Amino acid sequence: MTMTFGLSAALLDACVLAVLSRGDTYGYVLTQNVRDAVDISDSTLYPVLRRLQKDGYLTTYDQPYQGRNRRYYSITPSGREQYRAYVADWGVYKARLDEIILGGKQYDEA
Amino acid sequence: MTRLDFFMRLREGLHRLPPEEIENAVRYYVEYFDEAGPENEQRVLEELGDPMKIAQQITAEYMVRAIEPYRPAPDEQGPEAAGPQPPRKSGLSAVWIAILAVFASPIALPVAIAIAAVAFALVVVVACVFLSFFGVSVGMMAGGVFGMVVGILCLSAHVPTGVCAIGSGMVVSGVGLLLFLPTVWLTRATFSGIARLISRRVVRRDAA
Repeated sequence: MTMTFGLSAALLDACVLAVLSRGDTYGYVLTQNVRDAVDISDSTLYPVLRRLQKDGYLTTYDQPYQGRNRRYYSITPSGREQYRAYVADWGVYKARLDEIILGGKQYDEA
Repeated sequence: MTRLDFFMRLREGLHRLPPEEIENAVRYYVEYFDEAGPENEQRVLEELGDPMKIAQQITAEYMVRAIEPYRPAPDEQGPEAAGPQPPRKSGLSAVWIAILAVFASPIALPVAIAIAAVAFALVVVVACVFLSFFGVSVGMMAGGVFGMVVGILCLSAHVPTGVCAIGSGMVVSGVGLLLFLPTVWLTRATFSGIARLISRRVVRRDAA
């Protein structure tokens, strides 16, 4: 899938929080999930995850697996709050873009 | 590139970060490779791309976070989530250790005194230069005004002398004024430049 449109940092944050809001997961799976939706080929998730952790939106815990370690990421309550804010922003953003790209106003049902 | 190359370059790129942060980052990618499995090592290497670029991104995120003011506590606070405290702590102790080392060493102490003396002398010299410029320009302005006053007084006695004195007085104070303004600007620029240099070095220590 080619991505004509770039991905902003905020959108990437939103995607990560969205995936985590549906359940804890570890780095590799998280990356694959996000990669399904958006093209993140010229960046990697680690800086994003580190930043979100420092902002208090997610925490980590380790679980051993097959003799090695898996670091799981878990969304926090303030992370959920942030995710809800992103969902609201996304709705507005999407509507505005539709207006201009698709041309003419979209009339919502009453 | 091999997996080993990747990690060598990654660590190299991350060298400015505290060891804890470097280990966190390395661990993430080790896990990533392990998860993909050894058979996918090449594919993962291609996917991740240039380790230097990754290191750059991670370092940049970290630096930004270090300079930003501390945010009010969120729900979960891990040991790393303390915001700017960790880097500031390490930066400060590095400075104190350096000062302590200088004073603890019997050979280094006279050298340190000599360096401080030279630095002080330089500052004094620069200050004197600026002072002399001020002196000259203010002197010229004052002298010029004086000349004008004398000229006005002479007008009653001998007009040409008076006019000449007024004229030359105006020239002198004009030149003095022309010297005065750039001197003020130069002095201010020099000292703010020095201040900025000092503050930048302090900030860099804190962030590193």
